[in-house]
Amino acid sequence: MFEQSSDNYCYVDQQADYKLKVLSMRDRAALKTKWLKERINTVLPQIMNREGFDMWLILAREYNEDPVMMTMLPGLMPTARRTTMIVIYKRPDGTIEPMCLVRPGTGLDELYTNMWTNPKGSSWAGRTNHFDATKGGAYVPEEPETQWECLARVIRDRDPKSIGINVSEINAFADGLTKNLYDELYACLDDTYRARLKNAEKLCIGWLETRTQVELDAYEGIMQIMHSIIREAFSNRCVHPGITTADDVAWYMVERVNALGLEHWFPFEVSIRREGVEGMLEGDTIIRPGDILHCDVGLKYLGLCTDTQENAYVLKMGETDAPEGIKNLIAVGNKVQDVFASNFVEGRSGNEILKASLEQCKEQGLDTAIYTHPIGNHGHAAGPTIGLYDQQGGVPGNGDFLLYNNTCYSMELCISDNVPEWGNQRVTLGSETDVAFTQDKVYYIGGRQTSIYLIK
Amino acid sequence: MFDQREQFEVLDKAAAGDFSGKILPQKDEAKIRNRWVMQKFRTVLPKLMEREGIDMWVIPCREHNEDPVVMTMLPASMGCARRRTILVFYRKEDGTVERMAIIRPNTGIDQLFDGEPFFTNMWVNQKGADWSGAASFMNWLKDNDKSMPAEDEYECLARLIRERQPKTIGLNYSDINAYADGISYTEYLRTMDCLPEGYKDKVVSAEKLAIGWLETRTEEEIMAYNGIMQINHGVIAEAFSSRVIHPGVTTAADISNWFREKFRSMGILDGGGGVHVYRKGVRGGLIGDATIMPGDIVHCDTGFSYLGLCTDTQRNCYVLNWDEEKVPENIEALAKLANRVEDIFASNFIEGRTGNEILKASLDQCKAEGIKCRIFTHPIGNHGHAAGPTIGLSDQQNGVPGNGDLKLYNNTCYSFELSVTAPLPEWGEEEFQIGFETNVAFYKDQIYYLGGRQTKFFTAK
Repeated sequence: MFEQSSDNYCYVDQQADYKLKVLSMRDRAALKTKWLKERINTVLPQIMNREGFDMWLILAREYNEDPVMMTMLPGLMPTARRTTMIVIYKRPDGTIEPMCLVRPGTGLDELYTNMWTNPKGSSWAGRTNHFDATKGGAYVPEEPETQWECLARVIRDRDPKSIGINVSEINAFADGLTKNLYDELYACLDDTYRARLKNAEKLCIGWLETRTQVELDAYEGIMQIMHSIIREAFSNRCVHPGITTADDVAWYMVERVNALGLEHWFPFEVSIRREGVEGMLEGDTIIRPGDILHCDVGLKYLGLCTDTQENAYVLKMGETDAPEGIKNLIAVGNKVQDVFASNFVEGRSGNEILKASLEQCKEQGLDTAIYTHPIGNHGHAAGPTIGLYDQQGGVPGNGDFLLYNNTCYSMELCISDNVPEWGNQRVTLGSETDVAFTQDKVYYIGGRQTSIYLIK
Repeated sequence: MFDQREQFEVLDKAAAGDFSGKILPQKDEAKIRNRWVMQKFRTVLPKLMEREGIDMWVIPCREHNEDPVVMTMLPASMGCARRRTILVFYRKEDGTVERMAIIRPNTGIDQLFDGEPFFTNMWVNQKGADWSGAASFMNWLKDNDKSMPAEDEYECLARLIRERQPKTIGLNYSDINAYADGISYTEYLRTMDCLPEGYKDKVVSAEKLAIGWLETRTEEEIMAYNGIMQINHGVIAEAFSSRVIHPGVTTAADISNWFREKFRSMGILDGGGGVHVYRKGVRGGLIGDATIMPGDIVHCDTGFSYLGLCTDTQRNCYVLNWDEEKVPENIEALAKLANRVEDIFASNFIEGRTGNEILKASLDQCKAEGIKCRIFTHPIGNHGHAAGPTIGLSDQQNGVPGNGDLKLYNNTCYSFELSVTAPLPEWGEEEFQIGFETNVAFYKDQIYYLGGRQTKFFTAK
């Protein structure tokens, strides 16, 4: 494993001033399109081969989009337009033919050839030429077609053997096809092709979980932004013991993320562990010296999410360091991470990794629960679930998916140990750090927390 | 009709785009949004369920694959669904609506607002959940009620149905409307599968209920919409001035990008704007790298979302030639022509009419007055192209089967999107076409221009 600096993110600029590094909205949109083009040409052939599909249908409607479709739209197209169909065909030679069936002028034809060139019931007379449906160069049938008639023709012309549709009992990300669109699809096909429709569960997950090299490279710098915001919030620049509440710290970080023009994809949480108090304190509780502060925060930038839990200790007057028993909690968390990371072996299922890790932790006397999820285009993303906080015996379905290289996970877990300085109170502390699994190894993206932050 | 001036005329132009004192911090925005949702649950939902004859509304979805309706019902701090999330609304005999959720504990869905929970979580003993071990510190363990039988989500739903015995069960599937089609094929099968004996034939499409929920604005939302639109107009006023337009230098794409960055700097991430440049001797609009020159018409189509409400507005600017003091007469007349179409259009907003009826009456009247125009107006609200009656589409001027057949109700908002065509002799054009778009509220049987409408061209030099 790559040996990372033991002091916390020493490279992180404490000023949290990333304004000049964060791309303008224009550059973000251009980058999204560029990355997507690369993903279409490299990720799609690989996973369609692996899962045995030669056609994949992604059908959705504006503002009610299939989650997969949202990751397939170019940078300047934030939503689908009316009914939007993306059709991916893997040619016999293994290359990808990306197609769409959509009204003209949407921008989708930047990456997909628009096949719906003669829409029935549409009149574009008097319109400027960017509404010309035929400009993509696709065949223009003489008779106007409905969108579904066009889809049936596109399928017939290619005669695919295995057609993936997004219907899945197990995985939410692979279940984007609505009841009504399913009914319409079924109605437009004849029996031959109806029989070839297959659940595209593993295609969806493969598409969403697989990161290209450039995405992996960029993830590091995205995480650094979040770490630096935590570091700033977990300092006396934000925390004023006796005044600041747990919620104040959470919203402070939300505002910092927003000020950079980035999204916080879930509500930030800050909680307090306190001597003599069981469990955790939240909300309007005022932070006091001697408290452990815990945060659960994440941002989204360049289409990639982060999800991080870190901890800080509020020094009492006269203290210059956290008590050993509290520092120990971080060390125990790192030990669990080490055990866990060593069990990431390509081809293992999430449940297998979970079981092996929990058993080894038990042997080493580490009291832990592991509830780790994939991370990527979504926060709680598609891929193998490795434990849920209420299912430590394994997760049927999502836990049975296999681990592949070039995927990312949010190593979310908690540990419990006694803190001697707190009268041997048993304290449970959560930690969460994002990792990439690539070249058969786990890398801590942007480093991991190895010592507790100190707040004066 | 209330004669409104373009609101930004009364703003201090120098500070037109400065809304730093008005846009709320995220924490305060979340509070307002929660208040509005709770008000809507209390005042709007019971009436809609009665109107549409649905006494139970069941909305199942999953995290990151949410039904669009669900996203408008969750507390602001939740952001998205958690694992599988099923919302259940039951209209009781006394007319009040019981709000229930089937979801794992500690998601925040049961948080209190004014002492009342958003939803009551009915799934109190989750089958297969194991809270032993280190994760037991998560103190929501105590919410589990072991006196209830262990259930999965759909067994819990079946119990709620058996206990309440609804006469109709609405599910979100619809062939005409995307917003009312949020149930995935899988969740539909699971729902039908779990229903107790005798309930399958009580299932109906909740299409009109979903649309009604999304399109209906509370009093507070309508009152606030005016100030939200002012922000959009103020930003355009700044863009369409010599503070942003530098003839000979600025491109269409530059302005488009300026809009996105401006909104971003205000803390609004999903704002943006498309820009077209119209020029003498050039057919159609120029986009992208086209450099703006004196004598051009610059057109923008902008919008953003703030406090959960979207804006969508098209405005036009004329770039004065060096020797010009004012906008050429026939160009200025385009704004007046658009205003006339808006007046005709607005006069046809009568509660109970369908979108197609309003469209036909308006186009007929315009034709009778010799006005050439296209109307492609959409509802606006929680979404930009929102749920409700579509009044024309750019390529369907004879009416829109389905979404155009929906009826107009009070307390709904629309984006008056249209284009007018007129001769422009200065440019040697017989038929010059240009678009306008302005957001309106239909409230107390009248149309109100939110934040005013454009009555004359902006100018830059």
